[in-house]
Amino acid sequence: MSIEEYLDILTGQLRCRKAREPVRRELLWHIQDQKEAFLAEGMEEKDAAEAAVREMGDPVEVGGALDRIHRPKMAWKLIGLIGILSIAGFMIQFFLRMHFLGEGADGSSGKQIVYLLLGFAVMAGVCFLDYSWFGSHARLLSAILLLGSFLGRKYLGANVNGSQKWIFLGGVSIDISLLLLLLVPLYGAILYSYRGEGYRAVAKGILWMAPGLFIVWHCPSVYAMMVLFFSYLIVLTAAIHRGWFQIRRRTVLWSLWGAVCLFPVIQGALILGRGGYQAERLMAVLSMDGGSNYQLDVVRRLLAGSHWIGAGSFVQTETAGLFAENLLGEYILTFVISYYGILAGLFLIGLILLLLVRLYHVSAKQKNQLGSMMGIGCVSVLMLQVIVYLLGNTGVFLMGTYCPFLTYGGSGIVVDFCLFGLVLSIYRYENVLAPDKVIRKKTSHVC
Amino acid sequence: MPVDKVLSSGSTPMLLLKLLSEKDMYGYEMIETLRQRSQNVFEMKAGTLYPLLHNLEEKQFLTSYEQEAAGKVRKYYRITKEGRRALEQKTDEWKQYVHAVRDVLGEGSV
Repeated sequence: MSIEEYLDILTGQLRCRKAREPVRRELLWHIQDQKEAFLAEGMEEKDAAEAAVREMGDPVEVGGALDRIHRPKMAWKLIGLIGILSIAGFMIQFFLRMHFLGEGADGSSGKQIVYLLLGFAVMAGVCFLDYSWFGSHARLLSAILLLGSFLGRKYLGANVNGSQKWIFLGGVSIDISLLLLLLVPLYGAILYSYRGEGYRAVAKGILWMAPGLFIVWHCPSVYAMMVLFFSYLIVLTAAIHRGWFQIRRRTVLWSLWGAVCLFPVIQGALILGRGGYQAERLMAVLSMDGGSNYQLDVVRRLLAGSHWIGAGSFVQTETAGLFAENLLGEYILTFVISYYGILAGLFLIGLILLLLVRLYHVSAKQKNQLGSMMGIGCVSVLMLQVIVYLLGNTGVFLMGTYCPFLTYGGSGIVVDFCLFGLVLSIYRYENVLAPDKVIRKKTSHVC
Repeated sequence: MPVDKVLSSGSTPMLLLKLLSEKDMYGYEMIETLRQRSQNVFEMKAGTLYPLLHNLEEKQFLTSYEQEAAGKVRKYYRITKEGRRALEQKTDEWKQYVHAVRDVLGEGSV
């Protein structure tokens, strides 16, 4: 049997086609080593090849054994948790809306179901299409996202309540400040392609942050700006920390985060030094004085009046009712706490955090470095969304927010489910895809 | 001696983990090293080795990476923290087992 025939039969036993090439490669290298050893012993070329193949063992048996290992797997528990949270989030929004806005105030519940179904379809699609495809097309996909958003805003955009983050396309409205969060896992893949490039890689990594932040800045969306910027930073930090770029990690990380911390301080000092309206605005934010802000004030009073179980005192007042009419959608968690009780709120947020921790676990433990970094990108975005939302909904900070499962809207659902799908895909193909290629020679610490 | 049967008795993963606890290796290198160290007693077939290695990797006792050395690309395996822990445990079990066999056969006969 020739080497090719042997490998064909063996890899033919692997039902997962994606797994065949890496296995074939490894075994071919082994046979070549064995053949060279036989040639060195004085065998003829043809005999050496045949003997090397014989040494390998029965191809069907070996292929079968490898097939049992290299199978795609589904993270059913995670999918179950996502399903439970989707239903819970939908029900909570539905009942709160029914209570505060009256039943069927608009068709939003029906739409939300359509969005969720679309979200699940996107998640399944991304999960089955293996993540390495997104990884190897990261630059192109990023460019399409960036260019699409930029041109979309220019030609198909519309000003909605002073915000220019919406694109209207064939009857569908897309919030690009959320859509651009998809850049983060792609950013992880771009950094992966810069491994071994030293300080240049860090500079390029920082440059890659700019276009997305620029567009989000002009939306304007402080919320998306924060989530995007810090997600980028987390991914870059993880890449540097893992020694991808072969630089002085500690120095670079200290400088990077030092600059990040110093920048707002200097900026703030300059604004305060100049005085005027901007300085007053900044002072209001810094003092966290709820009294000067209607939204923060109501949120804090809602929370202060809440009970461990059941509706609190303030939530039943007319002020709270009026507040809900306008802003219920942005403060679902606040209303869960004040209307259903603190325990219900804690349980809900605990469940969301549990999902994020599980997603992080899948990403951090992933042996394929590309997958791991893309997963960390996904989890960073989701985690920051939840943190910013928590700050807003607990009256710490005033900011337009979005939280997975708790906020109404199609763009957010599709984007978040896309991120879930990516992590599920990383889990799914863990035992299937080829290992990382080490860029540096003679290393003992890269992978 | 029917080496393959002896090897499939469950001690092979321990031996592979032991080799990899010393340095990163590729498959062919492991078979050669194992044979040399055991004075040709352990002659392992590639067909036995790779499913075992891939299985250990799935259990996260090993990780792998492809690297070029001297003009050839090879897939190297590296032991993980979990792998080292498993090696320690398996070595202890093995020592207990040898001890028990020695006790049954009588002092000094094994």
